[in-house]
Amino acid sequence: MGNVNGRKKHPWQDVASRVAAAALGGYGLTYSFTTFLTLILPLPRSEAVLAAAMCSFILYTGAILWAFAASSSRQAWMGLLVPAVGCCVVAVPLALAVVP
Amino acid sequence: MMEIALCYNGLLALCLAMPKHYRQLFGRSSSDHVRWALKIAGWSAMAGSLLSAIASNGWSFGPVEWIGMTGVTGLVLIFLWPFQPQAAAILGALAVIAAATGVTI
Amino acid sequence: MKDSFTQSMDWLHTWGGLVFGWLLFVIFLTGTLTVFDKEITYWMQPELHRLTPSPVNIQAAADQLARLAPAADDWWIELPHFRTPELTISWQDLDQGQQEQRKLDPATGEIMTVRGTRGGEFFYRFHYQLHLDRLGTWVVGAAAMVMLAALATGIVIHHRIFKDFFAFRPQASLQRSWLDAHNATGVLMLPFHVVITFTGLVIFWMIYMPGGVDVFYEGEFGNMLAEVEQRVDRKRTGTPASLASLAALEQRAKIQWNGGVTEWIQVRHPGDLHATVDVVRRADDRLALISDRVTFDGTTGDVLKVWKGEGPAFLTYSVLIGLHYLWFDHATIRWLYFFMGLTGSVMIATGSLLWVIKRRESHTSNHSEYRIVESLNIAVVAGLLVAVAAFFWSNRLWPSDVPGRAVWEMRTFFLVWCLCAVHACLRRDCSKAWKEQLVAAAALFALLPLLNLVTTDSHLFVTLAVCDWRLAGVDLTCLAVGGSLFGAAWRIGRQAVPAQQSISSSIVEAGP
Repeated sequence: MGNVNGRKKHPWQDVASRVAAAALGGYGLTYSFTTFLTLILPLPRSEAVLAAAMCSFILYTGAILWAFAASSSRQAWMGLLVPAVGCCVVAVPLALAVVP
Repeated sequence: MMEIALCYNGLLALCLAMPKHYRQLFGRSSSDHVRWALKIAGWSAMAGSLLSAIASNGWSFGPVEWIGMTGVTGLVLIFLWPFQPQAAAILGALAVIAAATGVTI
Repeated sequence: MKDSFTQSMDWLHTWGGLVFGWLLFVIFLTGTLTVFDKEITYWMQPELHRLTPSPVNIQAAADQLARLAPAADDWWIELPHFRTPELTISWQDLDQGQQEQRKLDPATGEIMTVRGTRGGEFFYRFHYQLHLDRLGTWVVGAAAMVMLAALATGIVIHHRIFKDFFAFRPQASLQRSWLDAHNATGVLMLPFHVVITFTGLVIFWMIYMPGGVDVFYEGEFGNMLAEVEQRVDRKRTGTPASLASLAALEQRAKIQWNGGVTEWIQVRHPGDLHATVDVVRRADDRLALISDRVTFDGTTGDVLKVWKGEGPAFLTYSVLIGLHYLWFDHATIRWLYFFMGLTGSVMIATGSLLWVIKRRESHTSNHSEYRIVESLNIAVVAGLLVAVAAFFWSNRLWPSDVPGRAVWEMRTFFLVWCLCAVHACLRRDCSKAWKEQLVAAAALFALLPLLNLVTTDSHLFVTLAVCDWRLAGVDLTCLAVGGSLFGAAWRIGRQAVPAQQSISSSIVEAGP
């Protein structure tokens, strides 16, 4: 498995930061992307909601893997928050336009 | 039963197609021809077992049953093999006989 | 984090797997038991075993409801089925009080006195919410996400996944053989593990990922449900009117479906002018979990709505949850799910065991953390098995007339589990602790059919003679489980000595 010599010591702050990134940042990204996807899918609204929700768990899994694969915890957070904010920025005006 | 027999033997063939497992059963190396033959036979048997599952269960339940069947027969094979490779092979033959004579589980 | 992608995925797999492994084992094992929840519930209610298959007397059920709950606002009639042979009626009053329930003989409608028990539903509720309501559902959801991550990272790090597909080397070092077992149970059942975890999350998407609902339905899932299911919701008028014949309505509903049987009938505002009768079809012959519905006006008998469920996303969703819920009738698939669930539980358990073995073999010092992990392993894996067996024993031993009997059965389960946990912590020798608990579980399971013989008339001699496989199956499975656990305990006794000898050989071995 991973019995490699010269393994780096991992400060608990780094681990804690990545866990938080995976759990909270990942959820934030998944939530905002799911909402964004729901708004842009050209389907009746209940269909769009379901379709986006089903895809969300795959994205969240990817986000968790990213949080630990990123080369630093800062990169982990950025990689999740930047797209999340991006989705929000696009989704909010869309939501205001589409939902009466 | 045919589905189980094809599935088990398919996995057995694919297992034997690997040189180290072939050596474990037959005590000598396999030639390239034998390896190819086993691979083709193995994959064909797996495909046959999938078709058999669909034939008896329909398009929705068939694949579900097949995936489960593959896993369970694979597990039986994997856990039997290191102890008694000959027994694992004989089990395959018995499964075919049972399927041919119409024995059902 | 690490120098390479694989190393960081390895780290995530190991630590995520360890921290959530115990919870995931519990979820998987209770889920496996839930595959046969109806059979377990039936086994745990011997008073129902005298029922024979017969045509359902819906009118008798309606009469009982009219007699017992004339003022109730909601009536339900659950029709019997070969997995659930009794007829169940329930009702709820206007003031939204507790739901009341009675079990009836399906032929005569007479009320049956059945011992209080949660039955298989105990495992079902434990499985998806740990008996902790909404908080429990969130915890299980988090564990499921970690499981998906563990599966994905497991695939990434198992780089010899095809070359080692058939590899299992039990005679090799302890670490090697346990790793092979972990890989084999993981890889062979990978489609199952991925599908069951993913579909489990999809079932509660409205709790876990409600973004779409927040945007389009003001955050109220009920609004979406009303739109999708097109329920006819009429307010109570207060004007009394007689209810149409439910049996006749049920017959007319069946004409709307191409074959298929009724699962339940719901009457809202019975006895009112705006009474509404929903007749719901059993989703037992298809993968998609869609319960077609016909809604009637309860007074005139006019059809108000025929709902069949449509839309590609809805159908996909229904198939996904159908694959998890397993409400369809297919004995082979049901048994396959049971074995695959057991395999999944074994995979998770071997993962936690591997964590201890790997570190025990590479470091001889620093016992305390491994002690904690090992104690938890024993308490969760072996302890849960003992507790499950104890739950079945408690069903046969608690007297029928004890008030709150169902709760006492649950308390027995948790008490026994706690005792096992205490034992696991206090016992100095871990192998002995494993052995003792596994033997205890084995004995309880293996002796259950004997207890059944002594306490009921539904024991193996009777059930095998009449070929009642649902009941005999529970006893026989317990015998098989007991036998396997005895085997496991025996093997642990043999492995305790070779473990010391293999430390040197595993250090020489250049890793997996």
